[in-house]
Amino acid sequence: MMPIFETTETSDPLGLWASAPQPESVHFGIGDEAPPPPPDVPVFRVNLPGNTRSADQVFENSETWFKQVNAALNHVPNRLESLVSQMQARQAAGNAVSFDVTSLQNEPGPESDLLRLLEDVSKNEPVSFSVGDEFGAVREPISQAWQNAKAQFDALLAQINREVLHFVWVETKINGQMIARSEVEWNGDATTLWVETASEEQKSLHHRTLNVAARSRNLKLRLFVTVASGAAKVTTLMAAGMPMLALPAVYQYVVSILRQVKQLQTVS
Amino acid sequence: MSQQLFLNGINADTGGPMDGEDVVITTEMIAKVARGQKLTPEDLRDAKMRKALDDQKHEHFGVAEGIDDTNLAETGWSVIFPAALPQKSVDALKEALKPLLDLRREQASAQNETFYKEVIGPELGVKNGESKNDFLKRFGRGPGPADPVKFPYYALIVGSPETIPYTFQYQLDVQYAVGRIYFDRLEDYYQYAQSVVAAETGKIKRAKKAAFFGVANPDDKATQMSAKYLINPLATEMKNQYKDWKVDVVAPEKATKATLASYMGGKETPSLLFTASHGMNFKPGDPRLLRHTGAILTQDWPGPKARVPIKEDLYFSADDIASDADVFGMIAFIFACYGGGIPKMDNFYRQAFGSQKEIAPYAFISQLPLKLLAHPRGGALGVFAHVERAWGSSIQWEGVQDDVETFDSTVDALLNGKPAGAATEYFNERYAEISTMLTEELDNTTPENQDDTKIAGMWTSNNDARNYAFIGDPAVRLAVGETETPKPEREKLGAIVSQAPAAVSGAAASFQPDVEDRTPAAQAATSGGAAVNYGLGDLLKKPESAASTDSAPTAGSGLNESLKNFVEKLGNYLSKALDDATSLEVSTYVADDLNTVKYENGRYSGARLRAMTRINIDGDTLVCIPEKDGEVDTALWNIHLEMVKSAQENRAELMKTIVGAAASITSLVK
Repeated sequence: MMPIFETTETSDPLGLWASAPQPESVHFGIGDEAPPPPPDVPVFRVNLPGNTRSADQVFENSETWFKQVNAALNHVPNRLESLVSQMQARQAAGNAVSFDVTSLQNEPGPESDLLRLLEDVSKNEPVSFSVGDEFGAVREPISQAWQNAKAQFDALLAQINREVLHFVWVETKINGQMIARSEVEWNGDATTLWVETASEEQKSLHHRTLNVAARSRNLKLRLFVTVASGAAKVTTLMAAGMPMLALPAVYQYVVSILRQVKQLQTVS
Repeated sequence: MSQQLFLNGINADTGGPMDGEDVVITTEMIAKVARGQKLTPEDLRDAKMRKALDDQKHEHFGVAEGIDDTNLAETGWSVIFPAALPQKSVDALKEALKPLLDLRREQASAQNETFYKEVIGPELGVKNGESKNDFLKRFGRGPGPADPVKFPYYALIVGSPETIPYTFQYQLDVQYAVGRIYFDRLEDYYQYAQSVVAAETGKIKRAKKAAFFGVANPDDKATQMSAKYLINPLATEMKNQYKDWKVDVVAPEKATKATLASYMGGKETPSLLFTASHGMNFKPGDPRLLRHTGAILTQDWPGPKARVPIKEDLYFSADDIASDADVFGMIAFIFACYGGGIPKMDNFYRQAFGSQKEIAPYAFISQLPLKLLAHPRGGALGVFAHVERAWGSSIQWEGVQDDVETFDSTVDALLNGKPAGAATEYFNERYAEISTMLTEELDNTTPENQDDTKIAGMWTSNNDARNYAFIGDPAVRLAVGETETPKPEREKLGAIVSQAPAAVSGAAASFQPDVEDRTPAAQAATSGGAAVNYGLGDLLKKPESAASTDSAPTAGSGLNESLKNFVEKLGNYLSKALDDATSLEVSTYVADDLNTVKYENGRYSGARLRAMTRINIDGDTLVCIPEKDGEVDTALWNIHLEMVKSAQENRAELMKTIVGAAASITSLVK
């Protein structure tokens, strides 16, 4: 079955859009073929059912999802604050190794994963502490977990670069037929092409597709903000020169929380 | 019929005309200004007298009959200070300028000691607000040609235009050869003085090379006019007349910032440089106002239709003069709005609209000429440039387009060895002639019978001619020779220029250059935009000492590089977003047969554009409304409006998040 929200991006850390290959051509009508989007331009497509009520339901579900993701991101700073306080309290109590895995048994999942990764980082002494070397002379951990986290964080940055700092194509299909496509610039400028025969109702649905795409794009950037702020927060637990290395670890942490939210949504 | 006029100034924020989108300057408005700005009876008498003398003889201008205006022993030379300048500052300035004052004293007093004058102190110096005629009365002079027995022909003003106003300079310039210098640093006076002395005593000679740099930005009538009708004929004339000179003409397509750098201190630097372009203009409060006003907008600017805010990579400012620039002995002519400086109040607005408009925290000289003059490796000798707006009408007199005789004659005079102050007398002649004509036209006709176009043409040409100012000692002349001083020798001499004696360097720290210390006013005036720094990329720059280790690979280079790239992009995005997001555009197309539709260059071809909304940041909105069978297509229009609203909301949200991202990165790297 074709996913409702699909994107040509390889993954969606927010969990709303399913990955789909970039099509070589897009059908605008039965038997018609239109030129594909320019190479490397992310496409966001919503495949809607023909039934208006069901289509409405799709967007209502997405609205619920946005609210949950936003709530989860809002909660991240407090959770991290709490974690940092606990760890500092342990340090003050005389626990020599702040990231000792044995001390994590009572922490919930994302927190314990985060501390494991931070421990990996802390085992690697920075090469240099001189001013201006933040990006240039630190040694990365070599554990597989950290390397995975780093690869995923790199992928997020690449995705934001593509989606936020350039333009995207947003398409709406109803019953498999394309009714509209919009080219949306980084600054919000939009050029929309409609099928002449599109009804008012169908136009309204594409408008909602555009909103979902725009909010997803924005939310991805907000995800980065949350991660960067979180990395700054956990820096207090680390040696100088380490904040950059905390980014992949915190990113993993936030993604784990979002995964939990999705699981909860699925269960409910 | 009222006509629109073109002037050479561009507002940095909007990339549009400096008077704003809503202000189109017409002949009608100028005529209104002209009617309210007749000469005072004394100035008119002076202008008329000047015109009568000009009509009688063509060899000598401001100076009395029988006097050789190229010989300081016959013309005299004076230095003029503000009356209220503290004695300590006067002493420091005299010490810094001593090499120049000694030279001019020797030259000017060769036949008559009184031909050299230092106009200094509460009794003699220029008093705040006094007219040129009141000033000359102290020396027994009224209107009329310069008589060095009473007051020397060459006059160097040492003071800011706030203390000795530009209007004083313009009026004195009608009959005298006037120049001005004013630097913030005492060492700069010394460096300039030494540079002039080196040139005047033949120690430094440049090759006989001139360069004409003409910008013609796309869709911009002002610069297209100046490139075609000013730069081209001037350069052609010079090539034809002066075969022993090498003349470089920089074609518009090559008139970029990088090219200008090679002519302003780089390897192509000539002895005479002539530029024609727009000059930069900034809103009060803009931190660039004091540093970059009058900077030369180069061909890199895509033109007014692009409507892009103008950043520093599009113009050449004082900051672009290299520390090792080779400008020693050069003279430059900068045709651009504010190229020479800016008054505090905009005279045009006051006259046209009846209200004051402050355009600068105080009147000042543009930094580009000052930086050229005071260069520590040897300074330029002088810069002839425009104060306030430069009008295209100075090269288009009553529709005669190729009317550049004034410019041509000035260049001729310079090339023939005349001192700059005398060479530029052609502009004073033009000013005297036009202002007389203008005043007579206004006196002899009633407003209802006046031809707005004619009066506007006279007024703008009059202002153009009047507002050229020489920055530097007016007695300097081109320092050229058949043999150029070899570069190593020039560099050696240049190095000496900046070696100020202890008396100068010792006084420099406590030096107060003007009657008032204007630093707080400048800070207040420019504090509006100074606090915000969106240059995220700068956070990533390593100190120079660490730069050498850049190439050494580190284990963390993978993450660091991707993050660095991301942050740089984000920084660039932020700058671009905040600068360029001046409008939001939403377009709606429809097509019957969508398989024929192609997306190219931001537009759908093969589809019909049915609705378009463009909202400018200032609130101006342009809309194209869809029609169907002669009626507004309400259904399409409604959905279009919904999409405009969403686009606005999404942009606002995105900008907010991006600023948040910038802040979070800053907190990481601080």
